[in-house]
Amino acid sequence: MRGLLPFLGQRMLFILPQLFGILLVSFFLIKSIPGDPAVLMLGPTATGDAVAALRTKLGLDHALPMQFWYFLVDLVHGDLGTSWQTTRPVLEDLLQRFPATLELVTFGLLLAILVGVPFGVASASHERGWLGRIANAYGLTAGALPDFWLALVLIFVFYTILQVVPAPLGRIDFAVLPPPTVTGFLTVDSLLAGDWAAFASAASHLCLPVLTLGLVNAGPILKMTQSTVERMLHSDYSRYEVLSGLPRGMVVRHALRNALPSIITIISVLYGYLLGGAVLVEIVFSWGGAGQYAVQGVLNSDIYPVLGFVLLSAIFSLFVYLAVDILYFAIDPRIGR
Amino acid sequence: MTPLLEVRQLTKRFPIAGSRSVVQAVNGISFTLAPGETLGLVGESGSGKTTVGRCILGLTDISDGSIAFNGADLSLTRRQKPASLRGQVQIVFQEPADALDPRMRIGAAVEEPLLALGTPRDERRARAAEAVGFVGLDHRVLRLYPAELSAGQQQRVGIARAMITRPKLLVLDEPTSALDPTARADIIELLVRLQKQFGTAYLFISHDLSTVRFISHRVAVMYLGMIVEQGDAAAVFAQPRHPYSVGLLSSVLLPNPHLRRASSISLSGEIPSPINLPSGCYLASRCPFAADACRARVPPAEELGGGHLVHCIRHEDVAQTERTADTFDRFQEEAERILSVGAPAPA
Repeated sequence: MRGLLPFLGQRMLFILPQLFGILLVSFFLIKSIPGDPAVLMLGPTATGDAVAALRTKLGLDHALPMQFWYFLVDLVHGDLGTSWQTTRPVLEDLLQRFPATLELVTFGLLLAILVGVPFGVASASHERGWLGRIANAYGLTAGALPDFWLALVLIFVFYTILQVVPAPLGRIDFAVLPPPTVTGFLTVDSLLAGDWAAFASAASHLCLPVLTLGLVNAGPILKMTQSTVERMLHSDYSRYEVLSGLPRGMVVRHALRNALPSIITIISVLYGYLLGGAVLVEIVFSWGGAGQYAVQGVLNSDIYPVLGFVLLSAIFSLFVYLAVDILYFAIDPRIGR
Repeated sequence: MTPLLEVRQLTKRFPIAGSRSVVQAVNGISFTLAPGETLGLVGESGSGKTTVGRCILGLTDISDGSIAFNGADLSLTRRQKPASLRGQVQIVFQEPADALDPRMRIGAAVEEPLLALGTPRDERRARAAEAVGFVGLDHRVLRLYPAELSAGQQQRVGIARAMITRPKLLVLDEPTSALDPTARADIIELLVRLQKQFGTAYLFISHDLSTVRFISHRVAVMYLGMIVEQGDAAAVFAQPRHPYSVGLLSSVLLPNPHLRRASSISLSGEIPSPINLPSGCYLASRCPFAADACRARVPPAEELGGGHLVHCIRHEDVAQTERTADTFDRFQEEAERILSVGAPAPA
């Protein structure tokens, strides 16, 4: 694979400035939200002197660019600041919560791919058939369904009525000891520890939120797959295969291979977006993930959790995009050669 | 001689979504093609010539009429078509880049038609290498992807892919219109050579009249889904008898200002919509010869001798107005003379 290394080097070169830009913008945006953490921390009965003292202690009396500079200096030393709500270092909080969100989003997206891609391909190759119509209707519905509403419906059906899943409270039963942390994915960690009880509990807690995210996000994947594969099937090289008498499955497989870059793009965009976008589902299931943590931060002028979340999501997204670029490079002979 | 391809009253209508009207793309055309012969199908964009090609290939279902190939009915859909016909009719597309799968190496693309014929792998390899040799490409291109080739080379690959099954009929859908003039001349020369070598019949669809004159034995002129005139290329180009052919031919700019084909017949007005075709001759609204009889019904084909057919009741008046012109013949001679410079002397 000639040319991959310089290609990657070039990409890595851009990651640091990109991260700096993201931090710069989000720092000043979050700072421009009205609200003084010192007042919120001390409560309504605090004296003016106490508030001023706390502001000095928190460094809030410095000019904004100076505050940003201090934040960057701390960041270089691996310190993301402290959340005044949890009174713990933000990095610790995030390392605990980020995998929770990541586990939820990853499995949700996998389900979305498993639903969206086959349905999209099927409807593209049977354009006028009933499958195509079902796929169209599904694409429209999935786009119109709010995920938190679907989550509530699923809870009502599967927990309240059928009672086949545990209560929507967290990632694992309170009575079950969580496995030792390796990846932060409870399902994976419990399997690694060979703890079947923990695995069963974690998996059953994952069911409904993953189903929610999967069903809702299968919509855009289905639509993209359908339209791209359809376009490929209408191209001359697909027509040529049809009139040569090649089997339909082979024609569709080749069309899908050419449609893959677009499908991978929409999946990677969804992956980055869902880290924060799944927050309503996290709240409904009391998931305790990073999205929920960041929203609490925004609501309470607790800026370091928010910045930490933005930074981690940005790094994650950039690496997803990097992985996508490598994938493109591997599958598309037109790139970089 | 029994014709290789016999098209009878071929009609194709496309329904318009959300409406009861239809686009009358092809309106009862008939023609034959003998083995090893080239028929040039000419006409403006939208005259239905590409649709005719697609109908013959089975890419489009036909609405009415029949298409017989070697006595077998080609108008059936692909599933019902007998397997023995596979590979007998091939196509070269207009856009060489779109005709090749960008993710498939040239070798695999050229082999593809043999895959459907159940040819063993080793033989496929050998014949692919042979086929790219026939079209003048180095066997090293077999390992490349389409994007690594120029448009002219891609079109050669398209021709190699079509010729690998040794088809009896090759439909060429404007194979040179996406190419620059040099590549165009190379492709035409290649097609002529392949036809001599393999005796393949060509249906050459094009709006490029000078190319058609160069490569075709016979031509058919299409206007609004109808063949208004067909016959020997030399006869039609020298003495067009349908007003539309006259107009079309006089619009050609040959690359020599002295070879301008002057004509006193000029067509005015707009092309009627193929959704609401007039009841009589489709050209009546634009034709200086139009009489009441023209508007009453579609003129039937009239035989002028030598297989020259024209759908015009006033073709004799056209012939009187239009003197015989040898412009295209002179151009042909000129072109052959220029092309022969530097070529090895005929044995």
